Amino acid sequence: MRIPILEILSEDELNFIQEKALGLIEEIGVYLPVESALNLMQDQGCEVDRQKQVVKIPRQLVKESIKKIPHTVTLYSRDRKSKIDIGGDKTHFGTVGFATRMINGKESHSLTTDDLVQLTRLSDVMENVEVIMTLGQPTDVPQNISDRYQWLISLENSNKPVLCQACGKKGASDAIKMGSIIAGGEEQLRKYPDMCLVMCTSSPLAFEKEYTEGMLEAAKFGLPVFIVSGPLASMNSPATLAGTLTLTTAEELAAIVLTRLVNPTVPMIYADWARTPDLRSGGVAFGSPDYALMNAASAQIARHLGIPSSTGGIITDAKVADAQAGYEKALGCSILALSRINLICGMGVLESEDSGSLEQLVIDNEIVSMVKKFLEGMQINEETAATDLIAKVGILGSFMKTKHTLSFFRKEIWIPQLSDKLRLDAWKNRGAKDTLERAREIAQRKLKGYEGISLPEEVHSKLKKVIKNAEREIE
Amino acid sequence: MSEKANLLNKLYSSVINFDSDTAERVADEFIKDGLDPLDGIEEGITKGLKEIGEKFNKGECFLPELLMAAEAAQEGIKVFEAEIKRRGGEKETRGKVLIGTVSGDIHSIGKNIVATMLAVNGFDVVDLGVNVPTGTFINKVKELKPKILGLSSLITTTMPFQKEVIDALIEAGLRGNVKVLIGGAPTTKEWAREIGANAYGADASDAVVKANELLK
Repeated sequence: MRIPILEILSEDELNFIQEKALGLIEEIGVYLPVESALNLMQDQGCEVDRQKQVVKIPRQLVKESIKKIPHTVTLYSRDRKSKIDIGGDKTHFGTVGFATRMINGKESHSLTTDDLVQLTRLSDVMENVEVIMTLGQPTDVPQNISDRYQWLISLENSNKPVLCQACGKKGASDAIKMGSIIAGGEEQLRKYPDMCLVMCTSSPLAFEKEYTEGMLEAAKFGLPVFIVSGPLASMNSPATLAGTLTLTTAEELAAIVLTRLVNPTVPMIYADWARTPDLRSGGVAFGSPDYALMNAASAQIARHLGIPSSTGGIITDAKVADAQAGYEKALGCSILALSRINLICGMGVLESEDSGSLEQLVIDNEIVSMVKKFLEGMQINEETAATDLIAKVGILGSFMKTKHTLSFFRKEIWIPQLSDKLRLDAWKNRGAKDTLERAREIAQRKLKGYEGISLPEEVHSKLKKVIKNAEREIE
Repeated sequence: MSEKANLLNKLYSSVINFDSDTAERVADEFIKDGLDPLDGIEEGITKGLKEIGEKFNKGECFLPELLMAAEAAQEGIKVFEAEIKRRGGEKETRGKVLIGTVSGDIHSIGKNIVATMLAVNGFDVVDLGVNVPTGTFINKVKELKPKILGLSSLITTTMPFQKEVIDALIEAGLRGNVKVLIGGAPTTKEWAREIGANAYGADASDAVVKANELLK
C-alpha cells in the first residue's frame, strides 16, 4: 500500500503557473542589490539595469539552472550516526521559530538564551523532530549578532541538523566557522553538512542585500541553502491564491539561478511560505486552508522541478495551546504531509512563528506522530490479513493473548505519548489533567533527563571565541 | 549461581518473555529438585510480574504484553499450587473474586482483562464467563462464598441486569456476605451508587485498586 500523493494542480495548471512565473522574472526581473551577483548575472546574458539594480532573467537560463540542482539535500546529525535525505516523495518534520516571545500556559515573557536552550534540548529529544530550525531569537543578547547566538545554542544543544538564518556575509561566515569547528574542519563540514542556511526573499520580486550576501557566502562554501518566499496575499502579493503562488514560484526560480551562479551544484531547499493575512488585524494567518492550498501546490511545483521542498505547516495563530492550536496545526500538517512537501516545519511555536512553547512542542510531536503513522499506510499480506489466526481463535474468541497480537501490536497500532484515552472516571482518578498539563509534565520530565551531546571543552571555547570576535567588531 | 537461583531466574524470565511453556516446564523442574513451591511463586514468578506491572504503569509495556505475562505466570503458578495442595498446604490469596458478564451480554474482553489483572494481583479469581444468568451468580455466591462479586456490562440494555443481580442477592439474604464491584464502558460511579453496588472500576487498573479497597 502506498498512500497517494495529493496533487491539486492539473498538468495544464502547473505549466500555466510555471510559464507565468518564468515570464515575471524574464520581463519584470528581480531587484538584486549585490554588485557581484549582478556581474555574474550579466555574464550569463541577463539584462541588468545597474541604476535600479534589477536583473531580468531569461527563461533559458532558468531551465539550465534547474537541470543542475541536486534532487536531494542530505543533512547529517552532529555525531554523523544518522542523516536525513530531504527530497523525492518523502516527508520529514521539524521545528520553526525566530520567536521573540516565550509562552508558558497563558503566561508570556521575552525569549531569552536560556529559553532557546530549553526549546532546543527538548527538540533534540522529541522523537518526531527530525531537523531543528532555530526556534527563537534571544532578546538578551546584542540584537545585530543575535544570529551567532542562535547558531551557537542550536549547534551546542542538539545532535540534529540545524537550519538557521544569518545576518549578512559576516554572519554566514561566522556560522560556517562555528560549523567547521564542530565538524573538525571546513572539508568535513562540506562532506557531512549538519546545517543549512535560511534566507528570505522580499516580495514582490526582491532580494534584500544582507540576506542575499549571507546566502551567497554559504552557497559558495557549499552549505545547503533554504530559500523562503513568503508573501501575504493581498498585501505583498495578489489577493488571489494563484497570483501569490505565481509570485512565489517566480522568486524561487530566481533563487535557483542566483545560487547556481556562485556554486552550480549547491543543494537548495525550495521553501514556499506563501500566506494570507488576517484581514481584521493585518497580522498573519498561518493556520488557514489557504496556506495549505498554496503550499500543497508549491510542493507539486517543486517536485515537478526536482527540487526538495519545504514550508511551515504545523503552525497556528493561537496564543495558547488550545483547541485552535490543535485544529490549525493538525489540519495544516495533514494536508501538507499528503502533498509530500519534503520538510514540514512549525513544531514548537505558537502565535504564528513568534512565540516558542515547550508544551506546544510536545503537542506537535504527537500531531506529527499521528500523521507519520497515517503516511506509513498498512501492510497487506497473508500474515497481516491473519485469516489462519481468525480461524484458530474462532467465533467470539479473543485475540488478546495470541502470539500474533504480541508480535504485531507495537508496529500496527498507534500508541499515543500525550493523548488521553481513558474513560471519564479513570481520567478523573488520575487528576483530570488536560492536554496542556500533560504536555507540560512530559516536557519537564524529558528536560530533566536530558543528557545532551558532548563536545570537547576546546570546541566550546573556540565557538565562544567566534562570538567574542563578533561582539568586538560591533562595539 | 546456585541451581535454585538459576531456576528462579528462569521463572522470572519466562514471565517477562511471555513464555508459558517455559514457565510450566521450569516450575516442574523446581518441584522435582525438592524446592519450596512458595519460593518459586514469590521469588521467581511474582518478581517477573512485578516488573511487567511497573513497566505497564510507566507506559513502557502494554495490555497484550501484560496479559501474556500474566498467562505465563498463571501456567507456572498452576503447577506450584498443585504441589502446595499435594503437600497439604494452602496458598494465601487476597480473597476470592467471582466475576462474569451479566445476562444478555456476550462481551468478554474487558471482563477478561479485569479477571487477569485481579489474578495477577493475588486474588483468587473464578470467572463465570459471559451471558451469565442472574440465578447462576446467586448460586455460585452461595456455593463459593467469594469476598467480591464482579459484574461486567458493555451495553446500556444489559446494565439493568447488574441491578437485578444485586436485588437478587438482597432477596436471597446474601448481600451482607459479598461486596459488589461493577464495571463496563457505559457504567459510572453514579450508576454504581444508584443500584447499590459497593464500588465501580473505571478501567482494569482501577478495578484492582477498588477491589483492594473493598477488602480493607
